[in-house]
Amino acid sequence: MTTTPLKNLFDLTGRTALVTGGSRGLGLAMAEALGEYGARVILTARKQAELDEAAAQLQALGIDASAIAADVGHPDGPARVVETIRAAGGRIDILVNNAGTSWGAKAEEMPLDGWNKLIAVNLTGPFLIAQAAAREFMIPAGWGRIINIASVEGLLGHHPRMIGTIAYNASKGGLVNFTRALAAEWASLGINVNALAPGYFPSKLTGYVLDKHGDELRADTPRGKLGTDDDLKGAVLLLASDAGAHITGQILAVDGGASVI
Amino acid sequence: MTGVTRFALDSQVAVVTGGGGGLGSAGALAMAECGADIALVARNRSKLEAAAADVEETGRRALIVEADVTDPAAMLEAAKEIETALGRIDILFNNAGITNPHSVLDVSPEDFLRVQEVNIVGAFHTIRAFAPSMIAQGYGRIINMGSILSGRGMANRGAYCASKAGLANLGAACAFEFGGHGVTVNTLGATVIVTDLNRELVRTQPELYAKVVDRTPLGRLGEVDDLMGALLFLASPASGFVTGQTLFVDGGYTAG
Repeated sequence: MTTTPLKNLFDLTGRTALVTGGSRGLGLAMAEALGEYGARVILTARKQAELDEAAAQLQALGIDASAIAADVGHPDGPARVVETIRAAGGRIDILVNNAGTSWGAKAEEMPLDGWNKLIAVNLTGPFLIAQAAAREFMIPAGWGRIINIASVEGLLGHHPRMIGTIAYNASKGGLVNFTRALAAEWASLGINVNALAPGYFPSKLTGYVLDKHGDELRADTPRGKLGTDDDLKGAVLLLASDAGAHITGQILAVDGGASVI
Repeated sequence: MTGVTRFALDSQVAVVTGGGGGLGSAGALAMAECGADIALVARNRSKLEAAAADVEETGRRALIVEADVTDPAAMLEAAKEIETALGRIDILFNNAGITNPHSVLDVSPEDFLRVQEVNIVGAFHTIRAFAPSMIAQGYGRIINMGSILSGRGMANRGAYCASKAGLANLGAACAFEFGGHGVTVNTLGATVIVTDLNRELVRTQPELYAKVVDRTPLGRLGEVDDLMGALLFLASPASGFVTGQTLFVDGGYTAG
């Protein structure tokens, strides 16, 4: 039996990864993990200054990193990102749909424009960028990896005591089944589509929830603690590399066990 | 089939396993009120006599079969006895079950196996004994008593969690095997139900249940009555296209 040595299974040399929402937090941590294993990394986010700082941080680690400022929640944003990469002679082999936003409001008070904005960023953006990246790069290459960053909030409802996030739950639940449906459709094209479902990680996005409910969330997690920036790295490498070649359409919860009790 | 007749069990025969807790006798009474004759199967006849009297008060027939669900020969005998006495078997409510309150590292291998033996293997023996007559007549309803722990973990309930997940998936497998014969198989996924077995504990030591209550959108444990609507749905013609499912009746526990 001939098998691939383990270190080669995770090797991403020669691959290019696009990480949306990559200028900070979990996006930046995942970009760093992909770069550490040999991928060229392109970050997108809305703010140029934060992006430049993030790219510089990766470059200082020896990673080939670049940045494109764009709003993936804008209808033209995804196509523009892909066109910019193509025009520069680059490509996308691995897409990490990480950009996301949240909105805390009681469902009965959730405004329509907020709902629409959130769906645009969390659900429509990942669709448009996957579509553009697949058309331009992955389908012609017969190889691609799409990793959608969903959430345990896309698998379950919300504790009634906590601030409501109805649009977030709906968008992430949508992203979960988007992942399955896209995986089924594109498996024969060599494109694997999976999702990570993180639990609560301290970040700018979750700050308002953790300020109020951090202790309860820790107590409700079998591991007894929240996630750290390192906790998604192994999972994203598995799904981005040849190690995950036969994994598609799956939702991997990285939540310290919070969703199993 | 219209209106309430969707839930009518007239001239049907339902088998209910398990005595003691109150859920089996409540289920038996509810099905009798919808028109079914009832066979009550448990180890201890004396625990079934009140339930049988309740059934008879509705005008339906009640048959007590003193037998242990973990005894395969006894279940085959019970099937014969029930068919002879009541004429047919249409519904099986696999309610017999036990639990064990120890952690995975503390529960003895014997106790762990005993939970599987009653909760999974016992249901296997009753399905094996009672399903053939349902298949032969081209109609049947099997309802296995599941739990929120059919799909979730909980500390100090490892043996029970394993058994209830196993039972739910046994039901899903049966759904495939029996589906072509008009026999549906579903799991009733209950939260902690206040019964005669734990009522005193719930009253005197509410802290034991506080975590479940806290995680339940409806903010309370279940009562026996809470399960009757779902049981009647799964036991009746109303659920004819529902099979292999776990229907959670849990105040929303598994939604969060």
